[in-house]
Amino acid sequence: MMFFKLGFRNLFRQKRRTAVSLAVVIFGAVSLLLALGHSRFIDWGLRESTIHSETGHLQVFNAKYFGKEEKTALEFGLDAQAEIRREIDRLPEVSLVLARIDLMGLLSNGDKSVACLGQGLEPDREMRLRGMFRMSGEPFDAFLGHRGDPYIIALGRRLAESLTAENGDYLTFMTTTAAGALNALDLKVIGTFRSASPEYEERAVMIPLGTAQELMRTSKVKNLVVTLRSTDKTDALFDKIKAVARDKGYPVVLKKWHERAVYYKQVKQFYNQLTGFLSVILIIIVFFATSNTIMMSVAERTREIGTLLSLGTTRSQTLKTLFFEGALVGGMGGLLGAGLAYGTSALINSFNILLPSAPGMSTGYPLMIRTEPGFFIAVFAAFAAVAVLSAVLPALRVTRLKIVDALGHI
Amino acid sequence: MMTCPAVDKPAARLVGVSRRYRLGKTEVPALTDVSLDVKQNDFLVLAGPSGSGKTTLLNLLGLIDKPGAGSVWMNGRDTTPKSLNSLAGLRRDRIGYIFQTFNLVPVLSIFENVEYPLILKGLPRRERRELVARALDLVGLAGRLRHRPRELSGGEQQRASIARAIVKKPGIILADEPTANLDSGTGLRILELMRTLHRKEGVTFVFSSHDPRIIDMGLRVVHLRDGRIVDQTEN
Repeated sequence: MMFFKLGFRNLFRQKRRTAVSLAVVIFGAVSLLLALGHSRFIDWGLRESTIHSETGHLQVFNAKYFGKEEKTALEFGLDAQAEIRREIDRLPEVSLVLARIDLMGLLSNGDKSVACLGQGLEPDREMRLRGMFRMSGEPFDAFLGHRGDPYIIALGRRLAESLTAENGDYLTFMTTTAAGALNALDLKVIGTFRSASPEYEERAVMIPLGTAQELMRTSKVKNLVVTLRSTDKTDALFDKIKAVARDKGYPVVLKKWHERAVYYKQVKQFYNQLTGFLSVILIIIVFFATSNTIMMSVAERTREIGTLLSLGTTRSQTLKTLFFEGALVGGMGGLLGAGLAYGTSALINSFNILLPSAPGMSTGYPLMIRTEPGFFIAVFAAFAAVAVLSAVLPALRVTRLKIVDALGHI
Repeated sequence: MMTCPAVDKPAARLVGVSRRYRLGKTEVPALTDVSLDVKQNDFLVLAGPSGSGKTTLLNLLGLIDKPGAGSVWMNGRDTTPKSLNSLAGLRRDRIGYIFQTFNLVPVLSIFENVEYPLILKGLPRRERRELVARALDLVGLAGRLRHRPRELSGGEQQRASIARAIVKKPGIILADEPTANLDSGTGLRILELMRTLHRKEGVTFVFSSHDPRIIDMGLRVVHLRDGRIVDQTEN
């Protein structure tokens, strides 16, 4: 207890120096927690928006879909999709099942034809899929407003500009059928939509699933997209649906959302590298700042350490005091830093700050900080540990100290 | 482990001890072939001019330095082959120090400074309080328990340092020029206190000085010059 008391009181000998060390640790902890919190928000936001706009939690494909290239459109599409969908829909963890078709073709206004990427989808379900992640520029309200009319189309904003198409205009969409023949339909423009990617906006169209099937002369769909009530249940439902498909004899293959989320994985990796690099720098700064403080403290107290050793204090007892000093600086700094980071996060989140769009994106993204208790505990523990480790160099000096020299130290 | 052959076991014994220090490229002899017995209940003063080897001899007796040749015996046992931790244990249990510059820990109160050696010995709290109170009473600092060292005069700090040395009832107390940083009146009073403790409590003191008035107060005087004992007298 005396060694801890000594360690604690030693911090108040040079109050200004201790305050500077504490400030460095606090600054490090706040910076790291804000960076990690923002990175976690990006991860969470991108994950959920990817799931709720693109991948769902799980996707069901024909078992041959990933094996070889299709010779004709939808050759390896799902044909028993209605039956499979019913089975999946029965599972209580499932919140939504929807079907999609991808198709490529030419879109013409009579004067100009543009190659485009089409998606046949179920607008009402797509809207439910997006939920809170729905972007303001998406055209699902327009689709729902034309519920009785199957021959409708929504265009990417830039594609509409390219074709000088406006709502109510008719465009001809030509594509190949599942059998390989050409087919075309005149479709009424009901709206435009925006995307995070400008290139996608130049090529993308959306049409109702039934219209896409009619164009392609097929009852198949490309895949089923399954969303769950919680992302955490993805692995469990993956196994469950797989078992159902096996029992029922459906020739399907399942993919989890992250297997289909290439962009998400790239962004996550980028942020992980960035925060990892930042963490290392901050930890090094904290290490040297704390180490320097303890080193100076040891240098100033050399004679006192010599006195304590001459009284019979062992070197390990002396080291205990030093390590405790380090732990106190790290622990207190980490704790205060965590508290300050929490307050700063709440403040930043309350301002709804929008950051400029990333390269290649057409919309900005919010500056939000996630405050996850696990990260706060981890950063606090890491900084306390780093501060303890920072006492190693001063400790080495103490272990090499000759008592006679220490007592003669001025 | 060898055992000291003497029948009347001395508190400490130096046998043929030499110690040299390196100063740059040259080696300077600090002590040469010194043998000395410190008897139980001794009040021994090491006298000699600066550089005569007084401090080196005290350092060797106090087990904070090791001899280049010869051996140091403590309580009938040769300490030369002992490990750092064993030497720390001997210092903790058997040796008390009084420093020229008092060397009290500034962040601890006078009570805590005096209590410190007892914590090292692992004594229970109640026993520690009793022993500290008695030691501070003996040196006349009973009313200064909660003060920090900087709040005390030099003489009071040295008294606290003496209390810290005697509190654990060591076999021997070593004091290197204990009055050098005090005015002459205070220095004499400190020596009087040490003599009283020696007389009443049976404490063994070995201290060094080059002040003739202080030297005269020693019961046994060992004169050193150029690292050798040149004379031993009894007052």
